[in-house]
Amino acid sequence: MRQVMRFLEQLGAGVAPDGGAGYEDAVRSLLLEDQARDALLARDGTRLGELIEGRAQMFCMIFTPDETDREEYPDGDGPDEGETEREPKPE
Amino acid sequence: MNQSGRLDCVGLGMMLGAHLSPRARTRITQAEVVFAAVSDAIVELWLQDMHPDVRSLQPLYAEGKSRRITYTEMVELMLTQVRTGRRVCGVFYGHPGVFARVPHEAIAQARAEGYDAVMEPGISAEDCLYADLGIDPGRFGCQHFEASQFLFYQRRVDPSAYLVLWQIGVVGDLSVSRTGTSAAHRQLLLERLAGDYPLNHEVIVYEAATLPIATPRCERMPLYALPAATLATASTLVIPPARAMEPDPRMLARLRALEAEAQVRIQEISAPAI
Repeated sequence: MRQVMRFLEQLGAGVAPDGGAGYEDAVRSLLLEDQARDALLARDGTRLGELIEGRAQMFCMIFTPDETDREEYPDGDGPDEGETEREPKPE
Repeated sequence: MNQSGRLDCVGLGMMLGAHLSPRARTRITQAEVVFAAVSDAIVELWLQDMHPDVRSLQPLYAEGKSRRITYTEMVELMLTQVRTGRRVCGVFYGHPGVFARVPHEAIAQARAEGYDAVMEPGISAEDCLYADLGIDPGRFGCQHFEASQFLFYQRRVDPSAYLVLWQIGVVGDLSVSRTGTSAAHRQLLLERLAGDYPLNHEVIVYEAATLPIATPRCERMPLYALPAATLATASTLVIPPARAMEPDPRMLARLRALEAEAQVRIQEISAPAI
């Protein structure tokens, strides 16, 4: 796994060849299990994640759509007392 | 600040190995405990390679569980460690302050309790979008909305500027607890957009690459195809301008008058006194 990470890090940093024969040669030069090598050659991130035991499901949301506060209204003209602009009111 | 704990919220950027700033890396390696909310399983493993105590925030999510609860728990988990006097680093994918409520709330709470708390920026999905799609937001202007917020509230759209809708894959989720919404939800979005854009207007579904072996998704389609499109939680909808910017002749006339007036004043000042 450490080899894969180091290689991906170098690839991300632009110091490992990113395409063509140079990429394939760089992958083949790594001391990896065949499956991991094949996943890298196929550029298959999902398979690679499985092989190095990454988390199966990832959530990538850290925001909700209804979190406006009175203090966040740029001109201070927020909803009046009793109004419910904090919560969406769809029809 | 009078408390010994500390909170740093840093951005990891979007792509493994490509975007992490030296300053953010230092915050990570110097922390006593690291909390992680990243978007890719391999990126999470990469982060675990940087520090012996990386605690994923992923287990706090669950299908059907309100993300409002999840986010409150994330803030509390980090703050609990800060309150014990530890140096805590929260690592978030992209930029920790862009479409990211948790880092903002955690930092505000830490400061309110008397702790040092700092945000270190990162390369966001928005940054990647501009590079991958060749868009300069300054050219025609660019509006950004969270997709559900765009539906929940009456927003004014300027079709002569770019419109970018984030979290399009969960558009219209009133419960804030789902990992995907249906074609029917997107049909409502389509109806909302149809008031400002022709249905055959070309739009782009975008997803930034998180691994250097991957390529970003930049899928162009007519607007009417949106309900049937395959979308993920990381999908973003980019709508290019549909009409030309309209000049404002009244304002231009007033600006010209202002400049002419200024010219007259300059001439008066520079004219030799007789």
